Amino acid sequence: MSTTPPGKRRLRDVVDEHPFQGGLTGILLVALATLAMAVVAAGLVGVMLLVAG
Amino acid sequence: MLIRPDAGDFRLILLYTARVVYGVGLAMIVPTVVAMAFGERMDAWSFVLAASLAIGIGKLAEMGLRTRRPLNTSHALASVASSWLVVPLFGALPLVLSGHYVSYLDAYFEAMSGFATIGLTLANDLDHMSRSINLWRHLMQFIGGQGIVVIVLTAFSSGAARLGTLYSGEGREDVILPNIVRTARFIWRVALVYGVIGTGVLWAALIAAGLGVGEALYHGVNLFMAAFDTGGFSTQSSSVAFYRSQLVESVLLVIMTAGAFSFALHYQLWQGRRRELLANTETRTVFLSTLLLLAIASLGLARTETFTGFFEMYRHTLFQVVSAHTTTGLATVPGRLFVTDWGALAPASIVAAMAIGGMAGSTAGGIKGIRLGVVLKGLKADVRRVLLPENAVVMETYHAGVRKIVQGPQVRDAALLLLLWLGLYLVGALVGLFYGYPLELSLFESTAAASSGGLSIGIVRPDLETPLKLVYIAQMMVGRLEFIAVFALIGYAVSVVRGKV
Repeated sequence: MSTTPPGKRRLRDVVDEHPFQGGLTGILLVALATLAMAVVAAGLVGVMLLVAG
Repeated sequence: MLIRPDAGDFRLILLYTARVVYGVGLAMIVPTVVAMAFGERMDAWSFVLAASLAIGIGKLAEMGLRTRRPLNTSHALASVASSWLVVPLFGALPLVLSGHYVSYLDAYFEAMSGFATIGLTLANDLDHMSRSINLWRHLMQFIGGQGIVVIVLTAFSSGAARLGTLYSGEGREDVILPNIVRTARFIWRVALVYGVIGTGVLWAALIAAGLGVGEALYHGVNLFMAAFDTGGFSTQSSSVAFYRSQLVESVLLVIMTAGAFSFALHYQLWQGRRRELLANTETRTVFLSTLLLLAIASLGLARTETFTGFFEMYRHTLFQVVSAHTTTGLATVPGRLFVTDWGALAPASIVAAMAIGGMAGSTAGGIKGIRLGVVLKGLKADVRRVLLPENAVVMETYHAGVRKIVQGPQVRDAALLLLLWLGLYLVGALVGLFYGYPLELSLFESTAAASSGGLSIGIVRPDLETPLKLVYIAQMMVGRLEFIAVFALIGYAVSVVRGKV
């Protein structure tokens, strides 16, 4: 009997059997990325405005 | 040499088009139920009529046109394009019967804008539109964002191999899972799971903003579909400004960003592979260009002194630039302000953001980050070749799930598509100029229509010149399908005109 490698098992679990777990992980990472970008951009804009006077 | 189609080819194209029409007819059951639940009887009848027509025609065509002929690439591409032409005809029926549109053309414009996730609207008195009609506008974006052809065909057809071209013909490139059916189902799964999470969070944020529980749910559902599918329709004429809530805006920023990420990247993120966010060439390109355009827009706005404080200025700039870059089209300021109060630099940044757009294989439109990234990498390689010794081996790589070498043909294809996109933006701008609109306004609205950016400075309105409406409709469709499928359909049409059938 063939067995699924552990890594592939995990992929299938998150996508097929526990989609909300995968979805929550995904959207949290998107939220973190958005927050990081907003903070970096605020810093950049602040510095540019200071330089530009 | 051009293709020489026979009647059997057209039969096959019509069959697949009819299947998509049938699927969209089934989708109309949702607003029908909502109309009945809210006592919107006239709208309920409109949906029953439109759904019956779509389902009836789809079923009749299925019975009358069934064929054993296999679907080849040109059939598939032409089927995709013809589906995108025909489906809005049915989607527009409940809209025109609602009385919120001056003509059937306006309703067709709205339906195309919905399915193609553009966000430009010709609706009159949006603030008093019935719930079911408004839900249908947003549902069209939800269906179109994921891809009407792929969704319908994966739900109702067997045979994954032949669906591959239909999938790519609808502007998608990544086959995330081993076959198209599983890939399309994963796309739906992402949309539905994020839908539950996103609507829930928006619901809470809208209640915190002062809406009642039921009202907040209605707005939350619609706002999620508009934001995740980078559509940009709104239930209110003042768009997101209606809510006057930084919390709602913050949640929407995340959902819009999620919508502009490719489904292949979501697949990686669902596994918790956060490094992919930093390593992915397309993510880097989109984030860097967002940073740059945000900084430029802020500098421009600071010079105009439109906003009194830094925070207020940054809040609106951030929302507008992210909305434009993700090609969503939701707004926290009235579009006319871009012309009257935002100076020159900030609106130019918005246009550039809409033109570049989101990631390939997402619900967003525009040139796409990966193409820009690959062209820039190709340019960098060329510069290095000039500067390094002649016998030096110059190699550039990019990261999309795994690290890959940038190949010459890839750079050429990306550059070609980039040129086609710029041409598409230019066509609408030229027609706008012909009708007497200033260059900056014409370019803004043309880019919004073609890239699915959807922010408007006010050219798109019910009394817009009819030829310009037609041009924008064509731009929306060509931009959503990313050229090739439309070229295939034109090829068939030219063959008919030349009498080669």
